[in-house]
Order: sequence, then C-alpha cells, then structure tokens
Amino acid sequence: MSRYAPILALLALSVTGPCHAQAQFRGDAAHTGVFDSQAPRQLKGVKWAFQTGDRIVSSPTYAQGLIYFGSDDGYVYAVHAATGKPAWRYASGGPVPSSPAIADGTVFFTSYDGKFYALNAKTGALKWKFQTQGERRFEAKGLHGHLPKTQTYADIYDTYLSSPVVAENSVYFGSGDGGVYALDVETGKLRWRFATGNVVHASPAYAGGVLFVGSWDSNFYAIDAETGKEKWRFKSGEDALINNQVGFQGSAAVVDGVVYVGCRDSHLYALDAATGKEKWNISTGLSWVISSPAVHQGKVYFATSDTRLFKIADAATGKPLFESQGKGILWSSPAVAGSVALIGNFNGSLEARDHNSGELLWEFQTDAAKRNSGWVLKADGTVNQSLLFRSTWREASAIAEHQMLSVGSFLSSPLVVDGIVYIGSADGNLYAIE
Amino acid sequence: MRQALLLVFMLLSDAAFAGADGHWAGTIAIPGDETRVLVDLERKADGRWIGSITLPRFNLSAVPLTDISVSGNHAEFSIQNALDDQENPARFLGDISGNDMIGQFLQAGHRADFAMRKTGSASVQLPPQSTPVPKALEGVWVGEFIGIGDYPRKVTLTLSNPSGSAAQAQFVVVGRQTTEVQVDLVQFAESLLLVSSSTMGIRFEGRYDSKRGELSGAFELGSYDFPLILHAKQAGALP
Repeated sequence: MSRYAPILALLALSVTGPCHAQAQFRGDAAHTGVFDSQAPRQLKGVKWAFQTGDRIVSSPTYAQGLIYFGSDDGYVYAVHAATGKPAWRYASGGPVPSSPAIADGTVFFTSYDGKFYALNAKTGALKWKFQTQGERRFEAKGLHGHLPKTQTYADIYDTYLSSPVVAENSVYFGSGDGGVYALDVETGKLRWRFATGNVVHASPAYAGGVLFVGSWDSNFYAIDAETGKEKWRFKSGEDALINNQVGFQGSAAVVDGVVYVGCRDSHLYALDAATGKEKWNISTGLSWVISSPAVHQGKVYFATSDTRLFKIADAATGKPLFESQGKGILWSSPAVAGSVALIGNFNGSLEARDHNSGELLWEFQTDAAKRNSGWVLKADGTVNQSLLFRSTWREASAIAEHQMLSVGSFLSSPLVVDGIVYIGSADGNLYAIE
Repeated sequence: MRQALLLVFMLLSDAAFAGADGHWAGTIAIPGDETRVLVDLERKADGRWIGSITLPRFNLSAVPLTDISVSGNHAEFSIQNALDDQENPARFLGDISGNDMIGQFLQAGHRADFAMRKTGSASVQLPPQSTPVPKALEGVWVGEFIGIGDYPRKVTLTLSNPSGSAAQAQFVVVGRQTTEVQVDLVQFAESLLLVSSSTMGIRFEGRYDSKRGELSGAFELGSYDFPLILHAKQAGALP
C-alpha cells in the first residue's frame, strides 16, 4: 500500500459525490424522477397532512427519516416522515418555491429573498448563506398578450425557483439574476458563476461532471461542473411578439447520455449529452412543457401545460406510447415509483397510473377541490377556464390564477419513500398519502 | 263568454310579458362567490324578446342574451358566447312574482340560486350589426401572415352580400391546421373593413385601397396583432 493511500482514501471519503435516492429534486442528481420505493397501487387515504402558512410549490425531498420542503410562507420545514410532526422550521426572507437538497447533514435551498442557504439538517441551524445578485421573475413587454402591450409584466406563471443539486463538493443552482452558481458545500464560497442571458429557474441536472440547465434566454446549456465553462448550448424557439413561447422553465433529466427537457416553446427535446445535438423532439402544439420529464426503463414520462396531456414516449425515438388528457393544467412533474407513475394536477387531484399501460389506478383529491368554492372547477372536475380567465387587463390573469390555485392545485411533484407518497399542495398542506 | 275568456287570457299574457320586461338587478349565489348581475329584457313590437346582461365579476358588459323565452311567469335566457362552450351556454331559469325574479343559474354543470329585482325599464344594448360591403369587395381575397410560432398562415376571405343589407364572410386560415373562422360580424365604413368572430376572438381589420386592389391591416387573435395584406383574387367576380 502506498504511503499516500490512507490520505487518498480519506480524500475520497470526504469528496461529496452526487447525492442519490430522495435527497434532492427529482430523486437524484440526474433528475430522473425515479424512486426506488413502490408507490401504492391502491389508495388507502391520507396518512397525515402538515399545514403551512401558504401554498406549497416546492417538491419534498427526504433524508434520514425527515421530509424537507419549502413553502411560500417563507419557511423551510423538516417534518418526521412517519408521523408528520415537525422537527424544525427555518425562516428565510421570501417564499421558497423550490426543493431543498440534502447532503452530508446539510440542507441547501434557494429563496425569493435572493439568498442561498445551508442549514444543519438535524437542527435547522444556519451554517452559511450566500447572496446572489437578486431574485426576480421573468418579465417582458406585453407578456402573454397582457394589456397594455407596451407595459412590462412579471410573469405570473414563473412559479418555481431553481432547486439546488449537490455533487463534487459543490452545490449548484440557477438564479433569477441569470446566473448558474457553484458554491463550496462547506463554506458557501463562490467557485464560479456562469452567466446566461435571462432568468434561470430550472434546476441544474448533474451527470458525468457536467451540469445541464436551461435559461429563459431560450438556450439550454451544458456546463463543466468543475470549471464553470460552457461545453455546448442548444437554441430553442423564441417568441418575439409576446414572449409566450420561449424559455426553459422545467428541468432536464439525464439518462444514458441523453438529456430530456421540456420547453415553453412547446416541445420536449432529447439532446445528446456529449454534443447537444438534437436526437428528436415532440411538438405539443403551442402548449408549454413546464413539467420535468421522468425517464424509466426506456420510457419518457412528461406532461403538457394547457393541453393537459400526460404522455409516455419511447426514450430512444420519441415515438408516442400513451397519452391521457387530464382535467387540469399539468405543471407537476411525473414520478415513477415501482410500477406506478404519479402526477399532480392543477385541479387539486393527484393521479396514479400504471407505469406501462398508463391505466388510471387511483386519484386523490384535496378537500378544497371537493368544496370547489366559486366554481373554480366545472361539474366534471375540469378547470372552469371560461369563468376564471375573462380578461387580460390589469391584474385579472393573476387573480384568476390565484383563484385556480384555491382548489389545492398540485404544482409540487411527488416524492415516494417506503411506499408513502409525499406531495405539497397550493392549499398549504404537505400530504402523506398511502 | 268564450270571447271574454280569450280577452282575459290575452290580458294575463300581456301582463306576464310586461312582468319580464325591464331592468333587473340582483345577485347569483355561486358558493363562496356571490356575484352581482344586471339583466335587461325587452319585448319588441313583433313579439320577439331581446336582452343583454352585465356580470362585472366575470368582466362581461352588455353581452347579448340568446334563446330568450317567456311563458307565463317563467323566463329563461342564455348568455351568448360567454362563460361556457357553445354547446352548453350559461343559462338562467327564473320565476317572476311582481318585481322579483328568482331562479337558478346554470354554468359548466353547476346550479346556483339567483335573485333579481326590477328596478326600471329595459335598456338593452344591442350587439353591432353587419353592414353590406361595396360591390368591389365581393369575391375572394388572399394573403399571408406570420403568427405565433414564427411560421406562415395562408388566409382566404370570401365576401358576399346575399341579402343586400348585411354582408357575409367565409374566413379560412391555413397553417399547420385549417381553421374556418366563424364570422358573426362584417362591417364596412369609410374604406375600413372589419370581419370579426366573437366566439373565436379573431378579427381582421383592413383598409381598402382601390388603386392597389388590396385590404391592408392586421389579423387579430385576442390581443395579438399580425400585419396582414389581402389581395383580390376574384374581387368583384361574384354575381
């Protein structure tokens, strides 16, 4: 044995590899959306629900018996997975519509206060925080056809913040300041910042020493995780008129050398991870793909926004295998857990489907969706768009969006641990469903 | 005696009609969202009913009512092209008692109670009516515009004056798919042509240039504007 062997072994142990299992957004660093545990094929009911002070957009993560998630009430919570009892909560200075990542006893998260936080995972005590150049939403003149056209509007549909990913002793995340950041996990010291041309609210995926992330500048980037240098970029569609059909809001999944990512230009793209060359795409007919795809056993699971389609396609070719139209807009990202694919819905329901056939196994509905105050939903459970979205003047669209969420919409994506499904709702609850 | 009964029946019928006629104000008790409603109902001399409705909560102002029926003390009417799809319009079913009308409001498979009180005489705001177009505009017009997604759409507009008093239009847009626009208004005034579909939120507004033989304007989809120039393909060719 070399005299350096013990030192090398110690170094190897201390280097943080990509954290796996359920400790970060979409289950792992490559954001596959796949969980080891089998999700229930039959719905038993709600095991527990934990109420926060505002809507939960954040997708929960798990480590060491605790569920971690953010809420738009500004707190990050740690809750015991078994009981739903709170372990601790930490107040940031703004809403937390992103998922915490947990690695080596530290919780990392982004907040709308423009800061990046590292907390002790057991106690919630602050380890360090880092100030970005400031958080903001995507914005444009006459955005989405809002009136007047010459006014600049912040995008009310820019709902999420970038969720961090941890690998190689660094924690990586995107920011509304247009940067992709790499910070030292121990100290929070800036390693590098990669500048894109607009807001980055997607979460970087990590695979093979490379980060993959899209920006609202319409480019999708591959960045060397060590140096922060660009390896390649892929140009997606633009919409000079009203900036509706532009930007990467969702995050990529990287599997077997292929990057799968949805875009607001109404496509799902499959790109070669080494070169950025497009392998195939699926057009969704002017319907955003905000949901992040899951990739499992040669199949891609993804969803479209306004056309409400949950789709399964062949990962190698993009050939469609299954399609089902949901009752509400689909922004939640599908999760595959054993033989079950799960996806949340804007109409306050969570669907469980067979991962092969797409057959509906069960559906969970929030109490708020059952009450349906103000007829947000039609009698058939679909979103009552003709009642809600009557104007593009003043704050009408924002009010309509707010009303739509009142049924407990699922913008969060499911986490599956030990056969229990955890998901946040716009009714402010984190649900544990068995 | 028989004639007397008939007279009483007619008077009662007139009273019922008069009962529905007027300006009504009240609320719809949508669960968790009580909504103010204003309705104007008017019986024309020829016996037809016309009406309009304002629902501020839903950003609807003086929208025409359709399928109005008044029978005895019962009145029913729908909202034209608003709050639901064409196959299933939002509808009111009401019973009149003196100056009060109570009943149910149907929308998207739901039912909610409404109550209105007559507060004055009807002031129905009629929707704009189609006008004839000049003979020179009758025929087929074609053009192309770049819309959302940055790809071209071919437009074919066929104008005619079948009745002489109101023009009609066939309006077809071909992009990645073919859309036959359901035109419900054609107006021409001071060299400006308007072709509109309130159901689809689509309009073409263009100025007629007789020297160039073109209609120069914009294809409007909601608040989106796309420059569009239509050229006469067979203008004036129709009989």
